[in-house]
Amino acid sequence: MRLSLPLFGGLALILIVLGLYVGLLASPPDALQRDYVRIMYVHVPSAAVAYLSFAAVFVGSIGFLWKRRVIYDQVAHSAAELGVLFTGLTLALGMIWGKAVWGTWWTWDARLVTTAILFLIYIGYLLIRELAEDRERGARLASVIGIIGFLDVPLIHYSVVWFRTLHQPTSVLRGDIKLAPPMLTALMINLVAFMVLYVYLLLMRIHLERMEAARATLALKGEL
Amino acid sequence: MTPAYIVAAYGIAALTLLLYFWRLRRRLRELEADVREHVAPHTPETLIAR
Repeated sequence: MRLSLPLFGGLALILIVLGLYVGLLASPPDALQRDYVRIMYVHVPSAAVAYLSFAAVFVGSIGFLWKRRVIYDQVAHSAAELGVLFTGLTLALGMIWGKAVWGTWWTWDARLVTTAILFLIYIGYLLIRELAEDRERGARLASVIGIIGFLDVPLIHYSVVWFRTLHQPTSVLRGDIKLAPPMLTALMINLVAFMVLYVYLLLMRIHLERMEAARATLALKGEL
Repeated sequence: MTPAYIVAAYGIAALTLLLYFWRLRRRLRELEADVREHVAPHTPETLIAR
């Protein structure tokens, strides 16, 4: 932890600066979206990181319910908080892009609605933990929400295929890339930057969980 | 073309992530100081010193 935190922090900073350069300066404007395409370079990575986060909540929740080891719950709780942060950011950035390109902040589109539902599910996850009188019971209930809530992620992903939506379909799939090389490079660099930043914040957040547990143990022993 | 939407998008992303990072770091430092302060008296050295 002591070594990996500064390592991921430094790497994240370098990649973010590089991502800002390619996203804002080096990549060309889009023929239709013009410069607004640059919002995609933060919106798409933010959404990808949110998916990754909820996958971590899903795995951590199953691990906690199965093995009853606190570390699984600590990982799930930390990932849920970050997932909510990045989903909120995805929604905000998507709304700004929508206003610039579609001419509206919000529309009742399947992709947008399922993402907003995901946001609310995991706010519920965090609320249950905060409001539960018994910490262990709160963790168990939240784990169930963490598992069921993850079902919304594939629904979001395939919403653009299954429903008639205003939101564009996936631009980068294996063997089918609908982006020009400079734009793809900008997107990929920002994607890696967000992933590394995410790992850095997750490690910090898990460390915080462990410190809080240590503090609670000291308080129980009457040391605090 | 006004870049207002691009500035808003990047500004919101940067502010959100920075605020979260600062909050996390501040809370971590407080907790570390708190735990260290109360654990320290129980290390072998401090017990001997007592």
